[in-house]
Amino acid sequence: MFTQTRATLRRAAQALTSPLPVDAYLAMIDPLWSSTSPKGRVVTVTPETARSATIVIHPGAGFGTYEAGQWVTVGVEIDGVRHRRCYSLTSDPEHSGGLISITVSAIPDGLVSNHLVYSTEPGEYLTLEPAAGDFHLPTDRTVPMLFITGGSGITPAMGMIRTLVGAGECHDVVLMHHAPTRAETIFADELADLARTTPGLTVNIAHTGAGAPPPELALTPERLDRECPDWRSRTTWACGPAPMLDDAEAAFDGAGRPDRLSIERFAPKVRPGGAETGEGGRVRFTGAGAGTETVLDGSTTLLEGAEAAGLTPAAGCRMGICHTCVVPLESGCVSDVRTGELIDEPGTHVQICVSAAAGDVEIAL
Amino acid sequence: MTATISRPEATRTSDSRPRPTPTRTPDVADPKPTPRAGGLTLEQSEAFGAAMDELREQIRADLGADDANYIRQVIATQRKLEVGGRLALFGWFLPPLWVAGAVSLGLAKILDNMEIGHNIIHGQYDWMNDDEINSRVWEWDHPSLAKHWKHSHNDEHHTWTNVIGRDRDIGYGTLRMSEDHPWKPVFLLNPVFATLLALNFDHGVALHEVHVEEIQRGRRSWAEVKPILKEIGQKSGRQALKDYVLFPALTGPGFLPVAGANLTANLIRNLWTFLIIFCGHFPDGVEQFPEDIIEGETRGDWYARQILGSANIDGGRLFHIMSGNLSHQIEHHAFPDIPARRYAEMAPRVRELCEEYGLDYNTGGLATQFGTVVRKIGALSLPEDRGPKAWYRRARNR
Repeated sequence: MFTQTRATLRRAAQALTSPLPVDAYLAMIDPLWSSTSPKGRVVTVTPETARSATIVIHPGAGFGTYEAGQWVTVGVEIDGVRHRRCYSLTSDPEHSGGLISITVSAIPDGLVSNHLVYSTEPGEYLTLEPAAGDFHLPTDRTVPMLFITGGSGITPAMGMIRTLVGAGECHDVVLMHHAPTRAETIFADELADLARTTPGLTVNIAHTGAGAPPPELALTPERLDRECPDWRSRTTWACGPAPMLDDAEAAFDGAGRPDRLSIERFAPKVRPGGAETGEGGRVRFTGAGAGTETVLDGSTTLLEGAEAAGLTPAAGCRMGICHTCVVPLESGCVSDVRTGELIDEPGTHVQICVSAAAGDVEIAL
Repeated sequence: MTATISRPEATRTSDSRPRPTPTRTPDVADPKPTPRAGGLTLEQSEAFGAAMDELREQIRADLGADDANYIRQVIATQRKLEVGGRLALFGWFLPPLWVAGAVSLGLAKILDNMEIGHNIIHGQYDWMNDDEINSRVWEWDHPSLAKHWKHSHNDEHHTWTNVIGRDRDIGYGTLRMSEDHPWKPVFLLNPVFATLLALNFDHGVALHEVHVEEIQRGRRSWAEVKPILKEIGQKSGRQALKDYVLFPALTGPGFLPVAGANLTANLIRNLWTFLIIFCGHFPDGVEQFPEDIIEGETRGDWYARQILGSANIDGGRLFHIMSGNLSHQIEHHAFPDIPARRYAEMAPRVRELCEEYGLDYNTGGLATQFGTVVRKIGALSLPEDRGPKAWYRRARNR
């Protein structure tokens, strides 16, 4: 009833503010009131390690609800240009008083991550898109669970563990986390506290040292047998560096239980040799990018190519998830760098962040 | 479309000042079959194009937070003027509030249409990667749809600037604004048409997308334009509902005075935009071109044609903002997708290059520029082979 009245009121007000949405005027009073372009206001920025920080955000109208473990596309403005990236929500959706948090690790040369970790101040407005992703807690929280994480791959798992603990539903959960050193372990203190106070939670943190992890810390079935003997029967989530995820996949495939494992990657999984098989070609941008032409090899994505050519196409996750960058293919052929799949049907909406030229391409930005 | 272009050369409508005669380098084979805009040689055209491209790149690379903050600030000011104007009109019974409301709303509409709408729809701020401030989604407080404007203005007018028979902005399909447009008795009403167009400039612009003159010539059917007309009807209907029904009704007994104030605001906007836009391409000295000038046109030729087909208006910072920086029509036509606030800073270099290559850089005060536009509207209402043409020539060359 109330929502209906509100929708009617909104429609009536819209007739007065046409052609702009009512939200354009509401945002004059408080940017958080706009539901057409949801924003969030930074409440606190707390360092976690020397190069990571947790950012607590007050989301505005239109952000909506989310499940523990999902990710959000965050947009920050750097020198007048908005850049969007996806980050896992680390907050407990049920007990965070309407606030959300993300934990960001600054990666070398990472424009957005460095801005968020080192330059963001409370009060800054970020754009937020509604949370998304299938990497989240199941409805049945009584099943035994296993989280296999590495580095900042801990973030979605942390969101889920906090939620389980907060709801008193952490019945049988094992966390196998990997980080170079203790000082570089995000949430090290909180994880130690939780492990001590929560009977159903086992935390196992392996320090891999600098560089590639030592062979004995590779995620082999033998190591899983040693550290979590009933891993085959656990509902498992894995998030972290690609080699670790590939090992996890191999282990669960080998055990005949690929259905037990959910994986979240930070970078698109490139089909072996896939990037090199595409031949590349001349790319002509039409639409907003009209007049720009560039020659790309088969391993450079159309998004990277467009940006290198000075264009600013909309993009979010840059790994084929969020579909912010989707644009229609006008002509030619592109290959999906993850699968090698060729797309040549004009009008197909392609994700330019995971598509490379396979021959000459015309694409409308 | 006029198919009666008899002269092979660009029509020079004035400027009797001596100009350097560019010499063609004989050993360079020029592939362009028709004369270049401004009489440039291939070599000059290429050097000029490169210098203009360099200026464009230099400014494009410098775009940043200042430009983003500027456009947001203009948008915020426009919305305050609009809300303030609408609120003031609730005091319609006090004459000063009625006047303040109408003027404030008129200024808001001018800002919305010119410095904000026109420029954002050109894609000048697309580099910001903003969800709202971009040419894909922006709509303006105007009966014309942004997508129609993108076609009839960004595409047709900016591509074919001042090419007779191709640039539909020459006379907007109603006026006779070129000697190459054959005279007919109906053009005796040229000044009347111009006045009516000025008063209804918003709807004139909206209906521009219908291409009425092509329907008259049988190149388009009414069935073809019906969906376009329907869309225009819907958008202008929503505009009229807001200005002439809903806001007046909210003031109760003030219905008529408030509707009158909103009409005044729309008229202020129409007259101002007509004034600025007609000063962009129709003052004396602005060139018009035959259709075949396009053949083999290089980047430098394109720049030269855009510059010779446009005219600037001198003024202060506020004047430039209120005209959406279309007072820098020359820079706008050369760099349509560079944020308009940068034109003032680009102008000295453009002018310097024009001098170097002997291209006429047409600029003058608002009264001077508009005076010659009015004179042209009047003079072209009469046929050329009568006395007044001679009078017009004399007046022009004085």
